[in-house]
Amino acid sequence: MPHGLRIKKSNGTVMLDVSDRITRLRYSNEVAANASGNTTLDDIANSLSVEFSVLVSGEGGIKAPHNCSRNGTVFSWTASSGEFYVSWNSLIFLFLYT
Amino acid sequence: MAYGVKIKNQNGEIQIDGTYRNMSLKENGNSISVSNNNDPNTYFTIINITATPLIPMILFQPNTDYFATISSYVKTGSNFSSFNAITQYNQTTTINWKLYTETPDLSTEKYGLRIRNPSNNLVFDSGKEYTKILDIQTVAPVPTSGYVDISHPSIENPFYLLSPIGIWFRYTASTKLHYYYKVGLKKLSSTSVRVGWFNFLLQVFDWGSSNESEGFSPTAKLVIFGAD
Repeated sequence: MPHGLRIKKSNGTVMLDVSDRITRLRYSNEVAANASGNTTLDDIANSLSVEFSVLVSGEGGIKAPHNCSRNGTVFSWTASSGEFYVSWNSLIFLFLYT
Repeated sequence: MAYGVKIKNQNGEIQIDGTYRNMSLKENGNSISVSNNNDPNTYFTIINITATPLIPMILFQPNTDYFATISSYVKTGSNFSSFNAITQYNQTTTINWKLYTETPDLSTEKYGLRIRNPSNNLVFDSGKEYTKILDIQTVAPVPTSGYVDISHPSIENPFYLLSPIGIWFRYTASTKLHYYYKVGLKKLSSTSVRVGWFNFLLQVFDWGSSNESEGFSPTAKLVIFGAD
């Protein structure tokens, strides 16, 4: 017998099924331009995650968001800049989905 | 002894863990116009949202005509108040978007399931619509005209999140043209999408005799979410 949570609307439409992977926000932060860093999240060791970033109030000019990555339990964000583009404030996320 | 609730799906993957808050639908927009007038100050479209201090996650569906991307979120004070969408210069397209946050308030349902974490924050409410990750692809189109076509045959009309968004600048001395590029999405069909670089700003002025080309071109994640 399958397990998990299945939720239906009153008309029978399945809103959440027993095979669905729904996202849980584990970590978020607003990080400053030019600042790279990392944090250790011990509890994510056995979970799959997706990490991403987006500019905050970043239109105008050539502005780059941070690049996010995960290695084991370490979540890292790296600023990037060059001669013709600048690093900018970013919102960074780590979502768990298993 | 630890206590609480942990609900797993049939693959053993956690759906609800009683600690970390699930992201539920807060607001959405359908067939929203995104236009680009090729003006350096106003080339983007500001899409207002109901101000919230909660961190938003914004997914979108592009159209088939032009590339589009969600480039930045905008804060007013401590609240998120809008986001910026961009399409190709001198063009107009439409997008559908959905904004998710941690579940801030109760649904209006009279029956169902609600779970709170030890801080008494709402983790899950069965009357809400939650984000469902269906697939994750990594993409690295080559600047400044490269693209990657992603097919998801078992997933119809999903919403997408692309991150991080690459940006590139190029100057051609012989024509005095300044090209500005970002990476965005263009719908190919209900089960496929193109991830590619597009020119969002084109300016002409003399900037010297050297050709220039530089930018930020990361390997990005394309996260594919269920539409309902």
